[in-house]
Amino acid sequence: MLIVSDPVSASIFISLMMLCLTLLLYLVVKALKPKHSGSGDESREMYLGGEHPNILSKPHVLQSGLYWAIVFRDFKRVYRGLVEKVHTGIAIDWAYYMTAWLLILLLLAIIALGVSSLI
Amino acid sequence: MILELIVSALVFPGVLFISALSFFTEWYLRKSVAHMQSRMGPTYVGPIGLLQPFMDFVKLLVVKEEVKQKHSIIWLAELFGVLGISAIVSSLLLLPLSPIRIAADYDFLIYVYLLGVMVPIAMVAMSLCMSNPFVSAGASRLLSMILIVEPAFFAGMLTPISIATHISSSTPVFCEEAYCRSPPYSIFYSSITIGSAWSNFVYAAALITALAAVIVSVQAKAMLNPFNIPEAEQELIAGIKTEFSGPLLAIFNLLHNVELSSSILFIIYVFLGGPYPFRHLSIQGVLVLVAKYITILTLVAVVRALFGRFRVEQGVWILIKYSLIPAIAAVAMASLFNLYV
Repeated sequence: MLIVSDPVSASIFISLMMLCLTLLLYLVVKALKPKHSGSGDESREMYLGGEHPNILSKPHVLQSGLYWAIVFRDFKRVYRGLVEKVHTGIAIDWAYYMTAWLLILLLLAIIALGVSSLI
Repeated sequence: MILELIVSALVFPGVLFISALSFFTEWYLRKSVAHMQSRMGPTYVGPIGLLQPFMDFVKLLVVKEEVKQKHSIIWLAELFGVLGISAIVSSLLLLPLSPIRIAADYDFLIYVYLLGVMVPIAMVAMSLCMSNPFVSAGASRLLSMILIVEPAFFAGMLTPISIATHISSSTPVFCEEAYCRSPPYSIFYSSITIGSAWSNFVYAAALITALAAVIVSVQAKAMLNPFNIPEAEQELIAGIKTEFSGPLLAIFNLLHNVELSSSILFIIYVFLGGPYPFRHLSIQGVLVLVAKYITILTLVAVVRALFGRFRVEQGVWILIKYSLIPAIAAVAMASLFNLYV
């Protein structure tokens, strides 16, 4: 059976279905889990490859730092280009940069106008 | 209709079918990669080890103890895991495969929401419920990969959908009293229309480019070699799943395999028209569907067997070069050609 509906109804329908399935599957998992699993007060320390948990109190890289380190490293060339060629502190460089961008936008606007007139 | 909906959600193509398909997918990947590397692969359970992934899942879910760690929130991790699986199962209703099929204008965006937003969020949140530096490092790597992989995957998928929308706008397929038209950017209508686009040279070039880009991104989405960076066995112990055990590990493995299986299913339908040129309910149609699935899976297995793990920045740049840029180029090529045809 094919149900063709508007996008909002389709989104609500699928989201409700996802919610019901989540609840059902969660209950199934709870029912199937071994009863002794994760129960009691016997909780363990985190796995640190044999190191003592004190090692975590030493200075370390923040989690967000790991993410930004990768982003900065990957976009270093873009960053260097911006710093060395645009933000040089010389007013005429800034004027060149802005003029170039405005020309590109103007060119794009002309192309878009041309395409829309063709359609 | 209620009964059909329950069958679609729980049996076919719902939880049971997609789980069975994901067990087969895992078995095929392990067995074929083992064969390429002169190993035996799974052998113990079932004929040629076919039931090994299923038994591994059952053992983890029903028998193995879930180790409780001091700073973990296990119930929340499980909830996020089943949320991810439910999002994938719900998205299957958009395919022509399902007894109950849903189509709407721009339902491609619902697909993006389910597979591009809910599943990665579920995976990252699930791992962050377990406090551990190895898990945090793995999750940060996963976030870096998601930044490139998800836009690449969905830009690639947009190519056949925009082509199919353009083709079907001239040949209406859905009629109601008030109007007669085909919903634009709909997964269902794209799947039944895209087969004819392969005969056009320009469309075929865009589709091949996008297909290659999408296969590269699927490799990264599934965290298979050379993009197994967030798991990074030995380097990060087990990365995002370092603290998972018992039922929680079973849920995570199932989520991972179901995501891979459903991604391949969507590629088959959206790019290759499913059983095209045959019908669903025919022997030829089923055989063609299976052949397409095995072909894509074999490609994934070959790449997995050929490469070792990339470093993080290497992986990100390879994804930008071979997945994101080709996918954007393909969708731009298809859109420009649509304007002039």
